Amino acid sequence: MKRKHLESALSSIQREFPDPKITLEQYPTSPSLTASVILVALERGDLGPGTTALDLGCGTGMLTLGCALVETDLVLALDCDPDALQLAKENFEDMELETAVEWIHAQVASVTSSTTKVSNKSNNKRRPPPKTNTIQASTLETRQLIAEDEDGVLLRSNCVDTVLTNPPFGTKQNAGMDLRFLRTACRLARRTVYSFHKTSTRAFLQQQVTAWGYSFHVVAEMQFDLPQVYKFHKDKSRDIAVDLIRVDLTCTEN
Amino acid sequence: MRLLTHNYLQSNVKGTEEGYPLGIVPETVEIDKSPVDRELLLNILPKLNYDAVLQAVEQLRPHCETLPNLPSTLPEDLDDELVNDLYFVLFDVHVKNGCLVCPSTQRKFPIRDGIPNMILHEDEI
Repeated sequence: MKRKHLESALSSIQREFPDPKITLEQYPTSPSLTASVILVALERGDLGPGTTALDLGCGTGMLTLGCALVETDLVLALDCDPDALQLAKENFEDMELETAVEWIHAQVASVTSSTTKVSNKSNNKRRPPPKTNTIQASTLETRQLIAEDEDGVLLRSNCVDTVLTNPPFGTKQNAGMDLRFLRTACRLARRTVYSFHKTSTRAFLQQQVTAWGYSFHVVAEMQFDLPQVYKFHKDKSRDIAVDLIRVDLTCTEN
Repeated sequence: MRLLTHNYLQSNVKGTEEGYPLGIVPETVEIDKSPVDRELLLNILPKLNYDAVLQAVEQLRPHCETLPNLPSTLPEDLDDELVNDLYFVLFDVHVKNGCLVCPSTQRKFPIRDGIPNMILHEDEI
């Protein structure tokens, strides 16, 4: 699929949040940014026919639609805001694509309520460890801990191949939310996670993801031009340096 | 909500012993027939819990007479008829309204307009 075609299809939809909610940090992922992520993932075999995907915090559905446009087998789209979900669903229906897209109303638990719930249980009755003897025992253990997280998202671990997310970066009340999203994404995916994070947090993120037992690299450095979405923003738009990262969940080296 | 999605949903609400699979109590079920994609079906089948598929089908059956009978275990090779039946059950059957029920706590999760509401209450996290 050519970039031009993808971008143009994504531009054609209603992607503005009718009434953006400040606490949820709602703003649409641009068609250009969306096309970039989708095409990188497609090229690596992380999206497209033969794969399943999930858009964590789908908003108006830009990443979801991107996955659908490149003929991913199944796309799950999750958001806590029913208004956003409804708009995303309408956007998808307008496109009349064949791809199976499913909408789920769910919420990644906030940091304050879930920090103590991140699992430290040492035995797991539900899922055996991945069948490989090349992964270190300690890495396996950490990955198993993530599989047990009670993160508020009622989906089985490793249920999709790829998770894509443009997470809330976390304002004062919500600091650390992007890390929370990333961890949940790592739980839900079996193969890879694509996510956006402020470049300023890169070193910290590397440390965290490595501690979880996964390998992480920066796919691209971007400038997010956050539009003047909320009335109280003084500047017309604000540029933030953002990393597009890819977490490889299958890699055996730390 | 397709049965595909149902297959991935699991309750891990505080106090849940075994939250999978969720029971389905349908109110409105719609069928939207789509062309069978054999390759897609064969790709997705290993990613599913087949027993949960069977259970879901049986729970929808009173509401939906056209649901095919599925074998209790999957054979090595799937003939065309079985592929068609599986594809139909997973992709073409939509629970529009109803609810999902946790097998352990009986907690209900409503489904409205095809979208399951899995938002937890404060005391459930």
